[in-house]
Amino acid sequence: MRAWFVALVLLTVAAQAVSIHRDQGDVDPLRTLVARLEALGLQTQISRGSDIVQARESRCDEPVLASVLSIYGSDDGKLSDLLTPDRRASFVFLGGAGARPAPAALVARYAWQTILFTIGIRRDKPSSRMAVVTLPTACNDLANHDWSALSPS
Amino acid sequence: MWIGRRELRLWGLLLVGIAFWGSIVRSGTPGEATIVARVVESIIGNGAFDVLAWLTAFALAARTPDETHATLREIIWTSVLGLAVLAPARLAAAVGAAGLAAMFLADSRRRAADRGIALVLLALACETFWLSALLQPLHVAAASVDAQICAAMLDLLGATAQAHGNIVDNDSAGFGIVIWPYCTATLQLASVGVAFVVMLLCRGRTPRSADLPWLAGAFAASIALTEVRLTLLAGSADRYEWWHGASGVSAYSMAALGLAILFPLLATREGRARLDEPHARTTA
Repeated sequence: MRAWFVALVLLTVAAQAVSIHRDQGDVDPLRTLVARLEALGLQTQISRGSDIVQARESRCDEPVLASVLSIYGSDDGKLSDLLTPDRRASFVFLGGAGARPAPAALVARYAWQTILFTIGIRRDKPSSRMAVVTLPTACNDLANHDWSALSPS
Repeated sequence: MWIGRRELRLWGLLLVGIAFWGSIVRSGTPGEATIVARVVESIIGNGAFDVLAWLTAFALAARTPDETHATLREIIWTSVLGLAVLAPARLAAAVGAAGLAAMFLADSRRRAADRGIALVLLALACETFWLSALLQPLHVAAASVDAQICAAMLDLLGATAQAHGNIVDNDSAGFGIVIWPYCTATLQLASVGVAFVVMLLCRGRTPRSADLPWLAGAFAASIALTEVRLTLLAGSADRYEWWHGASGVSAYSMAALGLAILFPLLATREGRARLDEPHARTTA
């Protein structure tokens, strides 16, 4: 009987380890964000110790700022660094972009995509992270980029 | 073939405990940290009361008299729960904790400590469910109510403020905040419940129905504290910077911790029933 419970404990540890490994998703979403910004033709730079990406385009002096945040707001402190009065924000999540943060819509869309993933209709596990990108209002041309391409999933 | 009741209980707690902490590690941000670093980070980040809750459950279970064998029903039930928590879903741990709590409750007429363990497990199961993605829409709805309360409190303080969904615009300061699910007054309530049960047990008292008004008081105080914090955050950009920065978060955490400890202390001022004694109902 003791051997049975030892085996069950080992099995539980193994199942949890496999599950943690499988559910990792995008291990480095910031690096993915940098790659996607560069694919849009911007030159990127990340300050040491910061997780806000500065992306520059030749036609604009001011940088575009971007980062990846939880849709639940656990790291919303970053928002105050990204959002300043001279910037226009875009919240990019699950392939769509919106000008205002709308947690109700974000959580509802995430829940729906999670259901689709659980029943096998969606192949990849949806990420609960969104990309936030802020554009300097002085450079109107930047709005022409397809920022929805920065969507974490 | 047979094993003692104490050993079986410890196996059950170990199985559900592994699943509980595994689900917490899984729901964390992966990053580049090693699995060990993630486990340590998750345990620290999840709060001291969850760690204390598991330690309390194990300590109480270890004090089970070992002179009796576990029944076949208990062995089968623990095995079924051990297999159930293998499911790769966060709620599997909640189901396991609730199932194990049922086993302890079934035996609680003999030992008050069993009732204590059962209540710890039920509180942890409720917390897991409360914080799951399934209930996030509820917290989003609560954020809208928080925004209304926050705007009303700013109005009382002489500012002109409006709430739009989960956004509070403080027109007087030309500043606004977004209330995310993570910041709502409802999110912390399950953790307050865990803290309440654990603190009562650490004070040597099994929770009882007479403690419910104190638990309600702890919930109300937690909600009030969060509303005050949100109002302070929405006051101005400078206030937001301070209250959202390291000093402000520390001040809020200390206040929340103080309240989490205060109400169980008030509830246990008098009339402690020792955990080793038989349950009151059996002796009446």
